[in-house]
Amino acid sequence: MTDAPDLTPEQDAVRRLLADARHDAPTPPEVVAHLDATLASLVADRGEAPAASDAPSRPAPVADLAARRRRMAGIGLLAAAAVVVAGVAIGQGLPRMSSDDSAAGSAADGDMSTSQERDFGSQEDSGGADSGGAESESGAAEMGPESLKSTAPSPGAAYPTLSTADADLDQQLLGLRSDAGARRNPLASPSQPDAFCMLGIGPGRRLAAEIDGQPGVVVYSPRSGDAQEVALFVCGDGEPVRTLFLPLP
Amino acid sequence: MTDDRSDQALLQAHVDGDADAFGELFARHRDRLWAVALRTMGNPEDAADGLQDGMIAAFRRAGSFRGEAAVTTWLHRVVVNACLDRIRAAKIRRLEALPDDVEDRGTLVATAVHDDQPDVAAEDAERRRRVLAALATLPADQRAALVLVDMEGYPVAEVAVMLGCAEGTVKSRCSRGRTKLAGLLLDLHRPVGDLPHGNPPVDGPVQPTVRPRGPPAP
Repeated sequence: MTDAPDLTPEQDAVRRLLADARHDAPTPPEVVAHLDATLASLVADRGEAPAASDAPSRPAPVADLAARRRRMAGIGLLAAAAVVVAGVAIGQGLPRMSSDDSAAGSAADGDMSTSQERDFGSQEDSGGADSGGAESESGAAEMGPESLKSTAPSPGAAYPTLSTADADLDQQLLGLRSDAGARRNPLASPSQPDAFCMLGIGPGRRLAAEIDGQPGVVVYSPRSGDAQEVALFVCGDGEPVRTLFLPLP
Repeated sequence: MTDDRSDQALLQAHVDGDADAFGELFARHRDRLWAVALRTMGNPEDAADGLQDGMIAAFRRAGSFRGEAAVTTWLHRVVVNACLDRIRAAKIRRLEALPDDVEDRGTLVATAVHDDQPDVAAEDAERRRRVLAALATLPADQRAALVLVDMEGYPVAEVAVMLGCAEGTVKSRCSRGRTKLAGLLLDLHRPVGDLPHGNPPVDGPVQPTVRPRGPPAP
C-alpha cells in the first residue's frame, strides 16, 4: 500500500509500530454533533447570502451574522474599491521602478516575473510546494492557474495573489514580509487597507492582497517572542481566513 | 438513506447550491479525516478543532477543486493544513501534554480487543502510548507525513499532494522521523535476545558520590 524502499530494520520496525498505533475508531459522537452543528450554520449562512445582497439597506443585525452578511453584501462594493487600490498600488510601484537602477526600460517587468518564478521554483526544490497537482488542490482554482500561486507584487501588479490552502503559504508570506514593509511608506497610513476592507483588524503592517480570489489584507502583527503572527483577512469579514506564524528574520 | 453520487458529483452539487451534498460528502470521509487529525494533533480536543477548521475551509473553497486529484485527497489536504496551522499557531507543547492526552479512543479500542488477556491489553496500550508520545516529539511536518504514510497507509505520491510538497520531501520527512522514532523506541523494536534497553549491567559496586561522614582526619 505504501512505498517502502530500502528501509533499515529499525525504520521498518518503526513503521510497524506506527501502523499498530493507527486510530481505527469512528469519530466520537460529540465531535460529530459539533461538526453537524457547524455545518448547519454554514449551510444556513450560505442560504441567507442572496437575501442579504438583495436587501443591502436592511439594518445590520448584531453578532457574527452581521460580519458574514457584510462579507457577502460588500463584495460588490469591493469590486469598485479594488479599482481604487489598484490605482494606488500602481502609483506606488512607479517610483520604485524608477529608483531601481538595475531595472531598465520595458524589459524590467518580464525580467522580474521570470526571477519570481525562479524563486518559487527554488523554494519547491528545497522542500516547498510540489508543482502541478499539489497546487491544483489548493486555493482558488476557479480564478485560474495564475491565481493559485502567490505572486510577489511586481511593480505593475496591484497586489499579490495568495491561496490559503497553499502549503507554501508561509514561505510566500515570508517573501512578502519585506515588501509589506517597503509598501508601508506609500500606504503609510495603515488605515488605508482597513478602509478598503472595512475591517476593524488590529495593529500591524498590512498588505493588500487577493486571497482565495477575493480582495483581502495580510496583516503582519507586531513581532513578539520568537515568532510573528500573520493573519489573512478577506475583505468584509473580521475573522481571519488563515493565521500563521513566521520565524523572525 | 445513502447517496449514490460520487464524491466529485457531491462536491459539484455543493458548489451548485445543493444544501445537503457537502454534509453527505464529509460524512463519508469523516472517520479517516478524524483519525488523521487526531494523530497529527495528538489529542481529541485539538483534533476536533482542526477537523472543524478543515471542514469549514473545504466548505468555503469547494469551488477551487479542479478535479485533478481525488476529492478525498483534497479533503485530507485541507484538513491537514488546518491542523498544521493550529499547531504552529498554538505552539502546542505536545510532550508536556502527552501523559493525559494519548489515552484516546483508539487506545481504548485496542485495549478492548484483549479483554480476556489483561496483560496483553496492558502491553498494547503501553506500546501505543509510547509510540504516540514519541510521535508527538517530532516536528509537525514530519509527524503529518508519518501519520499519512505509515499510519494511514497512503502512497507517498498521494501524500505529496496532500501535503503540497514533492514526493522526495515526503520520503525525506518520513525517513528523518522514523530515524528519530527508532532511537526513542529502541526497546520496543529490539529483537529478542538483544541487550535490553535501560541501565547498563552492573560491573562493580557503586561508589559513593559524597564523602562518608566521620570524625575529621587528624
